Amino acid sequence: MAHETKQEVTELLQKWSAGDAVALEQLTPVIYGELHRIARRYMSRERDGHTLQTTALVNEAYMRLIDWKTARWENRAHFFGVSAALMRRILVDFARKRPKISADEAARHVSLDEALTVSTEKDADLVALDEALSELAKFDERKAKIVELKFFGGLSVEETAEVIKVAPITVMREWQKAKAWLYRELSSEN
Amino acid sequence: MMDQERWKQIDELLDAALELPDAERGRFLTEKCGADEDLKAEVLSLLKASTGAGDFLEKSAMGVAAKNLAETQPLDSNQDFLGRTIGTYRIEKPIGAGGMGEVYLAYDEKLKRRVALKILPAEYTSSDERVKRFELEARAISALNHPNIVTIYDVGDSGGVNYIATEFVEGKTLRELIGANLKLKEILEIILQTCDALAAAHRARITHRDIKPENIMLRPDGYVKILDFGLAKLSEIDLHTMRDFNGTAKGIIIGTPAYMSPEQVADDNVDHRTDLWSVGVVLYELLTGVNPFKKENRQATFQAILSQEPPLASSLNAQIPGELDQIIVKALEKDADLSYQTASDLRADLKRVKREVDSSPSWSSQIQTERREAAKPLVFFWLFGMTFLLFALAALGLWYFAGRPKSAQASEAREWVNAQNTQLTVTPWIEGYPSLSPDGKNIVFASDANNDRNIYLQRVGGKNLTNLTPSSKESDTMPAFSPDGKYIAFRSERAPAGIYVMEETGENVRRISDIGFHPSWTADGQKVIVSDKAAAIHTVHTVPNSALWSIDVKTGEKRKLETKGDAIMPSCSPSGARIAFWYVADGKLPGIATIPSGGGEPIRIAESDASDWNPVWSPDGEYIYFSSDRKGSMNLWRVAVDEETGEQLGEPESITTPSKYARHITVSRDGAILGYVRYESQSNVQAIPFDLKSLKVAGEAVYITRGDRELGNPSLASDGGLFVARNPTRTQEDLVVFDPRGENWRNLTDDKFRERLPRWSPDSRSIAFHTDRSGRFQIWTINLDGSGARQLTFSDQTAALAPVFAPDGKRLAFTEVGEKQQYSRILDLSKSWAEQTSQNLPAMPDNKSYSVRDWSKDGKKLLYIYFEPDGDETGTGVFDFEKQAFERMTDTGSSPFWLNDSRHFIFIDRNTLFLCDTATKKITELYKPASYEIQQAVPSPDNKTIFFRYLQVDADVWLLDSTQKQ
Repeated sequence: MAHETKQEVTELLQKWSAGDAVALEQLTPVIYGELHRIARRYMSRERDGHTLQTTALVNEAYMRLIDWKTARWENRAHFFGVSAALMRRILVDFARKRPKISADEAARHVSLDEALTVSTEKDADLVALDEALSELAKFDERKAKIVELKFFGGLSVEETAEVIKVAPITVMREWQKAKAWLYRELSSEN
Repeated sequence: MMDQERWKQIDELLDAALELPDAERGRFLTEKCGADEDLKAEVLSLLKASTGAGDFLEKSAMGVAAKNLAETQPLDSNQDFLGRTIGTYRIEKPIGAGGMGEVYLAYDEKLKRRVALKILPAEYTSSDERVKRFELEARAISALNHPNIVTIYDVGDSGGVNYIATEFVEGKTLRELIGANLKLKEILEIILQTCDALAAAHRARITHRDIKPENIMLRPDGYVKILDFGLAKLSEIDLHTMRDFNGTAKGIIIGTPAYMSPEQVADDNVDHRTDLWSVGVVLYELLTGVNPFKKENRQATFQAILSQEPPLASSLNAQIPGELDQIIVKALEKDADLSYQTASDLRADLKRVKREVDSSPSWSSQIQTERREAAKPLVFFWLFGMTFLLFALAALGLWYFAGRPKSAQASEAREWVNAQNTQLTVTPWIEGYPSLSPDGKNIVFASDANNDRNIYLQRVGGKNLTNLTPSSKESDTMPAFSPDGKYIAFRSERAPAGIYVMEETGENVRRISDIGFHPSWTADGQKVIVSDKAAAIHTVHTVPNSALWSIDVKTGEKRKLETKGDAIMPSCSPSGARIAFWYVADGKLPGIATIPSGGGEPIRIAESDASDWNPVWSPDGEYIYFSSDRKGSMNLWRVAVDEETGEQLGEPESITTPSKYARHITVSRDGAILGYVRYESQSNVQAIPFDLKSLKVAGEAVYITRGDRELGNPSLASDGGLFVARNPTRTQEDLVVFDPRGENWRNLTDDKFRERLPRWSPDSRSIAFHTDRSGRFQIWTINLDGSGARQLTFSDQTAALAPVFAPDGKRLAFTEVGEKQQYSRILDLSKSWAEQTSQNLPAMPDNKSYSVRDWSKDGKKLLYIYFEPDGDETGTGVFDFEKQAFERMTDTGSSPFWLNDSRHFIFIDRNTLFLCDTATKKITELYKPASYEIQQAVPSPDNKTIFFRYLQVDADVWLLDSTQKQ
């Protein structure tokens, strides 16, 4: 992501976490724009036949909107907590507005190369995930928080550990278990 | 909902079970859960889910959302647009991206012109009404037809993609020019033109709303062009489309805050005066290098715009006249009613300042700007910096006057260290052969800005180009100022071709010789020395077969000069004693030598194994400047010589310019300014589909590789697995392999030797190429993993080059380069060099040289290119083994490759890909790129794709000024 966008997003998130409600509707189009940009990268990869590891090819660094390094203010943990929650809200909202892809359409996008490859990628349905995550929070808030920070906020294990004030190894374990629970919930729903 | 106690139990068991190997989990859970079968089932199901989850959630939500978006997009929108056609526009290359979408250089197939095509992101075009409003405004602005406003050709949408097509402007944005040492006059001129444009737009009731350095362009001819009129309107957020929001219903502009006016920040009524504020900010930044309001974040910037007074521009740059301070203060008045009310008022005030500046020579000096983030600390930095600079200059001066040390090592040429380096020409065209006038005020050079190559004159420090040979439709090049500065000698291809002389104004053109290139005037101005061959770029193994000639300017009488070898690019010494030139002889690497002015025994200088060329004598006769790659990249060097004897007096010294490739040197009479051409290029591999039935290309060219490389001679293995290509870098020339997606790069060789012309063996296991790792170019092979490098040829000629495998992989054709002749030979790969029986291919009846380039798949025919005795390539031909006969196929063209039918072949000629049918000799044009150049085409093993080298080149004239230090 362009450095400027990152800076802009960080600034807006900062304002949001400081209680500025207007930041949300300034932030949303920036993030939507960024989504379109990344989506274009996917599309171009697919068109060029670079389908084998489509997802892996798109650098994860581009997926992270929050500029951790420039965040030098006092309450980092609070900021990241609030930011991840906001990202969740925006992205789930976005997913809710978009039409669900039909099986027919999905098939059209699978090229020969991809059809021959056994995909290990399992993408989440963000809307369903959001609901399941709210459910999880009711009896295990820590796990839900970790998923929110790591998945929606794009934080690393170490950063997540810093925010919720536990050891990184604990984050790893909790993450694994949360993933298992969510995965089971989402696959049984279908 | 799950019971918290129950969950804790499950969670702990899950933790423990996850620690265990799979096989032990069942027993462990049976033991722990006892009779609670539900508990066991729950944990087991979670364990199973944990194993199955795999990559689930491992990608960030942003990535998932983007991928879902990509999959649900209509196929034709929001893709990578390169190489595609949208409406009537064929998209060629990206030229930038802004908040309002990506901009491409495109070609309008219908109207046959280049356009800048901006693709609008979907979020800005979701509201039809907004797009319509924008279209109305775009039409209104186009109707103005103002020279300083970029013309909008077309606003439309095609297949769900919204675009704006505008005039394509060559030049730089002010963003690129901030800090580029613009002169005060130039800055004023830019802002005056900007005001002109705004005045016209405002009269038509159109406000730009987003004036900033990125939106103002300066063309090389001095014209200012304002971009993106009315676009800001599109980016206003339509809040009706937003959910969950209860704020005010006003639009919010996403833009660059630092140029926003107070009324924009406060979201009050914005009118045309907002543009005048922004112009004030841009002017301030151009003058000082600092944005007056930009702070570390948006909020602070807004605060500064609303309530802070920036320091006076003159406090940051003492050269700024007080009147200009006052104009800026008024333009940046926070109350719009007290500020400039019209662009014409602002323009008039600026014009008054410009008039004074124009009449006062002291203002013409360069505005020195510094790039700093915040304004306040700069005052301190400025004062401190100036003091420091004075010390540094004083120290440097003392050192200089204390005498130049002549170091034994390759040292830097002192007076050029930190010399100010400025770009004189700013065009996307290729400029070459600059020649400074003796007074150092003007410079002439060749440029193909006008399609044909013409000779242009530009004032040093100026921006306007004057075409001195506008009526010539053929190439005019290699201009050289006479010693008195009154005449310019040059080479022209106009009929009749030869060396011409004209007055410095371009008048009274006359031909003085029917032969010659690279003219250099003798010191007395009576004669011009030329070489009868030309060289634009350095080569290592060509044999140019060129002599030097002396031509009498008045009578045209010409005399050949003895050089005892091939000589090219002459330069006369200022005393008239000697002539320096680029020298090729005795099988040695090309280098630099001098002869007495009447001809005679050449004396080599600066001998090395590097490529030295392009010698130019310094005006005081003490040095010969030249281009050399002895430090890796082709940069500038000089060596001290005795002008009378040609004796070398010291080791070469480097003059470092920030170029990948510097060439074509000129030095002013006083020795203070050095002009050169900075040549920038990148070449990538592109592919174009080829239809075997119709024998035509079947689609657009796409990039296989991307980036700032110089890839050449791409070749795909017959198993389709990997490409091999030549990859010269700043310091090395190596071979690389990469996959057909342009990824997984790996160096096949990584050493100081030059590896060239790689070819896959038919079994795709090894690669043959020629390299100088044995001291001379010979043919080697290497395994795919970089192991087993083996020398195949041990030719006693100058070089053995260009390996071509037979389809059975048992033989290899190659070319032996002798001093005057090239021989094509065949190597039996089952035998060592010593065991080879003579396998010379037959000589041509007329004794022409030829070099084999490809072997037909049926094994029966060779494709070759002709070499004239002087080393020029002059077309292609086929050698038939059965008939033992040569047959010419084309008179021009290079890089021929067979298709698998052993009947057709492809080749490249004058930037166009052709197909030739050897049965009928019919030639068909296949493909020509809309811009830049293609070379070295090669079909894929299945012939369904043709790969080629796509070369993008830009060359501009730069000046090093030793009187101005950076």
